[in-house]
Amino acid sequence: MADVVIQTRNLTRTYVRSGGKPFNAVDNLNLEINSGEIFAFLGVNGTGKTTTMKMLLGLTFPSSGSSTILGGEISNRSIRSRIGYLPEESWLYPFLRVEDVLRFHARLFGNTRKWRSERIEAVINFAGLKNKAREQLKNLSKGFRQRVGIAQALINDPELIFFDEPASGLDPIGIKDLRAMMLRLKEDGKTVFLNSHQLSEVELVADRIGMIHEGRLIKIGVLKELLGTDDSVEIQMSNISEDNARKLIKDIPELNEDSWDVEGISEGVVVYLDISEFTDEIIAALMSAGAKINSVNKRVKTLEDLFSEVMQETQIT
Amino acid sequence: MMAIAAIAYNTFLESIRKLELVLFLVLGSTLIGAICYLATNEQAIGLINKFMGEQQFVNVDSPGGILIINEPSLLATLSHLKASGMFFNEVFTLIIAFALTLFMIPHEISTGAILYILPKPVQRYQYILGKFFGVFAIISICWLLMGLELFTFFSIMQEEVDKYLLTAIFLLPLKYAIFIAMMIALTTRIPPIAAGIFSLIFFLGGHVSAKLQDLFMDPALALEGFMRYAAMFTYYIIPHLYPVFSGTIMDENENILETWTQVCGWALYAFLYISILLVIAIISFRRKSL
Repeated sequence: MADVVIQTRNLTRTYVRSGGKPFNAVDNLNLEINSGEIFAFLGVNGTGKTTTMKMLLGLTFPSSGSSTILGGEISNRSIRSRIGYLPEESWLYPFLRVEDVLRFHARLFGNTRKWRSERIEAVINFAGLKNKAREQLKNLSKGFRQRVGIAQALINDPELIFFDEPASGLDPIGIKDLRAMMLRLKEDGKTVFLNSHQLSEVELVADRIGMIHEGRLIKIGVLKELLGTDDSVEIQMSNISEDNARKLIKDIPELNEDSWDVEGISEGVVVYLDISEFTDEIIAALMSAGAKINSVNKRVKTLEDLFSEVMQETQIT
Repeated sequence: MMAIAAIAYNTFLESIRKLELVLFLVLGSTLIGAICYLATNEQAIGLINKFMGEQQFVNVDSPGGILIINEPSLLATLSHLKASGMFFNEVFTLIIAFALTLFMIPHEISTGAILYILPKPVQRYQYILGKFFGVFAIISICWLLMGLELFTFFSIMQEEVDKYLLTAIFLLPLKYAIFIAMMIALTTRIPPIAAGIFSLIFFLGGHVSAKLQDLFMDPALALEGFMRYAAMFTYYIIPHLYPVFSGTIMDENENILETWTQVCGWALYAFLYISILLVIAIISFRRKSL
C-alpha cells in the first residue's frame, strides 16, 4: 500500500460573512493523498479549494479538525523543507533576475552555497529557463513567469508539490509544457496536489480526483474508475425535425424515458442515448421517417461530463 | 539566521528600486547641500545673522528700557545651519521610512508574494525580522548619506569634529528603527493608512515626551482620575524621543545626552522599545491567516 503523504481529519474553516452569519469555507474534509500520485482537487470558484491548500500549508488556520503532511505537522520546519508550493497569485519580485529569484528562495532553505548553485541550475533546466536566467522578471511573459514560479516551487527538490491553478492565464503552449512538467514530476516519484479549473488538462495528468462543493467533498476516487466505460451513443442525422425525432423515439416501448435526449443543431438533429442496446431500433425508426443518418459515435465520458453530472446531482440533493 | 538575512537582503534590494526613495534622498541631499552652500556664502551668513539678531531683539528683555541687539557670532550661525541641516535629514528620513514601510507587508499579503515565502522552512518571526532589518538597513544608509554630507562639510570648514553632530548621526538611526518597528507591528493587524497615522502620532508625540511629562506633573493642571491615568499611560507608552531630536541633541544647553553613559542608556532604551514592538508584531502575525 502506498504511503499516505497528506491526511486531513474533519478539517473545517469557518468564516463570518459581512452580515455576521458564519459559513464553512471547508466543511469536515477528510482526505488521504498517496505518495507518488497526481491528485487533482476540483470545484467551482470560491468552493474551498484554495482555502484547503492554504490550511495544509499552514498559511491559514483551521477552525477545527487537523491535517498531517508527510507524516508530521506543517509547523515543523523539516516537513516544510520537503514540500514545494506554487500559489495561484503569481507575484514574484519583478525587479529581480530569474536566477536572483531562485537564489533568494534557495537561501530560505539555508543549505550550502554548492547545494544552492546545483539546485538553481537543475530547476532552470527543468523549467526551460536557461535562456532567460539573466532576465528581469518584469520583462518576461506570463508563461515564463509561471515557469519561474514552478522553478521556485521545486528549488528544494520537494517530495510533495502543491500547485494552485497553475494553468491560469497560460496560452496553449504554456499549458502543454506545464502538463509535461507535471508528468515528469510524477515519473520522478513526486506527489502532486493540484487545484485546477482546467478539467481537460486534469484529465490528462491526474491519477485521482476529489470534487469539492461549498466546502464539502462530494466525490473522490481514481479518475479512470470514475469515468468508467461509457456505453452511450450519439447519432447525428438530417432530413428530420427535432419534434418528429423525439416523437418516433418516444414510441419505442422498451426505451426508458430518462435514457435518451434529442437536440437540434445547425446540421440537423442529434440523439443522445445513455445505453447502446436500442441503437439499431432507433436508427430503423428514424430512417423509416426519411431521416438521413450522418454518423453514429460511441460517446466517451469526459471529466467535464462527470463534473457536470456530479454538480447537478449535488444541486438536486 | 540565513532566512532572516535572505529576507532582509531581498527587502533591501526591493527598497532601493523604489522611486520615492531616490526622489526624497536626492531632495534631502540637495537641501543639505544648499545649507552647506549658505555656510560658505558671506552674504547669506549676514542675512541669517540679521534674521537671528532680529529674533533676539524681539525676545530680549530690555533692562532699564535699553534695547540690546545681540548680534549672534559666526559660530552660533553655523550651529544654527547645522541644526537646520539635521532637521532636513530628519524630515526626509522620516518620509522615506514612512513610504517604504507603510505598504511593505500589506503589499506582500495582497499580491501573494508572501505565499511564496512562508510555506518554505521560514518561521513567521524570521519573516518579520527579515523585513525589519532590510528596511532598517536602507533607512540607515539614507540617514548616514545625508548626515555624513553635512558632517564632512562642516568638519572640513571648521577644521574640527563636532561631537554633537557625530553623536546625532550615529545615534538617531535607532529612532527610525523605533518608527519602522512600530509601523510593522501596526500594519500586521490594522489597515496601513490607520497604521501610518497612529505611528506618526506616536513618533511625533515622542519628540515632546518631556513636555508631556511636565504637563501631567504640573500641579496647576491638577489632573485627576481617568485623565491623570490616561496622561500617565500615554507618557509611558510613547517612545521618549525628546533627547534624540536633532534640535535638542545639537544644542549644548538642551542636550541631555552628554556622557557616554547617557548615550548608551538611551540606546539601550531604544533597543528595548524596538524589541517590545517586534515581539508585538510577531505575536500579532503568528496566527494571521493569509
